[in-house]
Amino acid sequence: MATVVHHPAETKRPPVRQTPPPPPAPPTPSSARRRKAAANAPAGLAWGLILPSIVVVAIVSIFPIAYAINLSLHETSYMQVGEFIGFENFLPIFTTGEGLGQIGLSLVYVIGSLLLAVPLSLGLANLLNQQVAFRRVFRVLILLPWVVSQTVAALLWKWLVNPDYGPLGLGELGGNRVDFLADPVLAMVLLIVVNVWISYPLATILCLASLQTIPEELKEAAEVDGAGPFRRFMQVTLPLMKPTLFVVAIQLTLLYFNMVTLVYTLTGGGPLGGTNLLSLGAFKESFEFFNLGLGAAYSVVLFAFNVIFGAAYIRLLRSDKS
Amino acid sequence: MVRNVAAAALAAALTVSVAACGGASDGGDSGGTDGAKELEMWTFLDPNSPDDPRGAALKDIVESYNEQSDGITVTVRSINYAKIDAEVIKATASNNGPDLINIYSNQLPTHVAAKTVQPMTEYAQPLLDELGDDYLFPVDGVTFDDEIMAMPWETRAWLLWYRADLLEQAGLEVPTTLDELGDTAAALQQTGKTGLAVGFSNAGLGADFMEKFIPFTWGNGGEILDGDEAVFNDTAGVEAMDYFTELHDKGAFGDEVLSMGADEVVNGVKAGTIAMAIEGSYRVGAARSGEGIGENLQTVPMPSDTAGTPLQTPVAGQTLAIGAGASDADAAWDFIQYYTSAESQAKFAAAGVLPVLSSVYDSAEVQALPNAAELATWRDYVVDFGRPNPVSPNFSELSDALVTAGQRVVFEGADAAEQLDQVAENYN
Repeated sequence: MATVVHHPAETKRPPVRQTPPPPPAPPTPSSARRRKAAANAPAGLAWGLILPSIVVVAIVSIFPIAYAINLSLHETSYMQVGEFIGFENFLPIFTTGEGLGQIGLSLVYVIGSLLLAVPLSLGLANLLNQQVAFRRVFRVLILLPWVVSQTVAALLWKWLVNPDYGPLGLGELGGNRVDFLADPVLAMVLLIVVNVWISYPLATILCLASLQTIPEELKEAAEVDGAGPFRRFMQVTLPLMKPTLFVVAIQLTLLYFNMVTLVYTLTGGGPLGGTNLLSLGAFKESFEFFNLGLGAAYSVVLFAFNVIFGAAYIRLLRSDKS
Repeated sequence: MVRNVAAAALAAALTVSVAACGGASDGGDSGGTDGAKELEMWTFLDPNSPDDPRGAALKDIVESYNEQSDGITVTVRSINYAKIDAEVIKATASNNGPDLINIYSNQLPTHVAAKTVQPMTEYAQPLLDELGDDYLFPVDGVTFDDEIMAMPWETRAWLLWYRADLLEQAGLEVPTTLDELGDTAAALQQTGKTGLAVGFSNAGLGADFMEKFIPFTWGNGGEILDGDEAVFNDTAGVEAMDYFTELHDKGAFGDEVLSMGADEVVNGVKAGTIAMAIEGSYRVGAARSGEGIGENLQTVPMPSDTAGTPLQTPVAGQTLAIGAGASDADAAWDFIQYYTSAESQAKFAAAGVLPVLSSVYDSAEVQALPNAAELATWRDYVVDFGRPNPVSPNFSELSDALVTAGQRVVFEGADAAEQLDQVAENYN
């Protein structure tokens, strides 16, 4: 005969309501009047209210994108826009080893950073969500890198990993001097680590906010059903956090693809072109070499990658829901 | 009907409000109302900087000028060094450019091509004729299509820096030839220091590497540019690149230089982790200010293959140009003339700037400086072995490509001729 053991948590659960919820109250005369009035509202008012928003969005979002696309299809000389040249500005990006290398390195950088940042943020958010002493202090400490600018972060980490005097410098290992900024692979690893360091707080905040919306009852129910902590996390917490995680992924992807300051300050694209990303190409061509057309082409390629990744996340989210 | 009118009015009001919020503030009138002239000068120097003595000198000079000028007032806008060129180009394109622009001579061709500056030959030539040999800066470096486009107010030369204390500890002499330079650097590297730092980092668009590649190529009888065409991909350029490889193979520097730009090299010299470097005269003062450095940092002209005959040094410097849209070119020139006068030059010399007027080195103000004798040796080096730094509108692009080629040749064993051909082909 099986013995039924009541888990303490179960006793705390509120009694299950047996009676069906009351039907929604019929519309009162005043609310019905309001709906009717709204239905009959003049189109002019609706357009009048929405038009300023459309104008602002057009000015700050659509116009720059359209301008960049137009610029990428024209010859340029400093700030002067010349003849239409079709996709000629895109050729150096898609038909040269350097351009294709930049695309590959950007994908390594973005995907590598995401693979580190998202699980790290999820884990830290879970830790911060626990009822532990000094929880607020931990929260502040973990979120600190968020307030550090990319330039400061780059200079700080340059010093930290310096093999001669940096506190995190590895010096000589096995007879070889380990200099993160003198090796293309190690430089990319360092770039990803620093990038994750400055961007995980944002993701952690979003994950923490999402965690706090998950009802405890669900976890307790799973616990009653015999699910351990890992299974509860995988089967209760994670599915409920998926929409947030997709938003985090989209935000971080956009941030990573477009990041310039950190890369420029930390590695400058080197050594040996090992961290020469698309975003850096866009910046250098536009503002250091003043090839605005080519710089705009880089920006359009970045925009396309952002759209592709964003659309993929949304598709995944929708298929998951269905 | 009334509702429609109200809705349209509301929409219009909101749109106008938004437009008003996004509207640009007016730039103000550069000219005065009572005949007074107001000029705006854009420069990377910060007149209020507590750390940079050049900023204080600038402030002093501008204030002195404003006091003594007849109705001309100059105001200074400080813009970060890395951003000023792009800001000027963008502002000029929208007709909001400054009256006076501080431009580093290497960037001047870019400004000429972007039409942010206007010729000043009619003003400058009579003054230069009058000054004659007293004006040190090779004016070819700021002349484009026979027009003088800016007046240099600072001279820079590149020198061999060495830490006298580190050489002494290692029992080594100051090298007098390129062969000795390699050997001495290799011996210093054995002591745990970087013997000779050549910044191979992409930081700063490879400027530190270029500052060595240029004189070494010259030393081999080659040139960097012929007009706007790249010509460094000849025997001289290949030999210069091979010399870097020889230095690396000899142990004069290790892979650590891959992460070094000019700033890292100077900091390394200050910290005592770098024993020798080839750096600009304009950085000596800042480097010596480091704790415990002082006179331990010494300079000599860059050695060549022949002892006693140094390499030619590139000469560059900060210049002042008249903006393409300057409200009053005459007034702008009046200020430039004051800015490059002996009086102002002496003030800048006290702030560690190498003057462009030879006579200023003999002035009481400069003679009173603790390194007056050293400044005189630098002047002589510029006079005897100085050449205008090769420049072009795409010099930054070239520099960035050449340092990457240098990395591949020196650290990956790529063929120097092939790499230089590739860079030259892309550039041309």
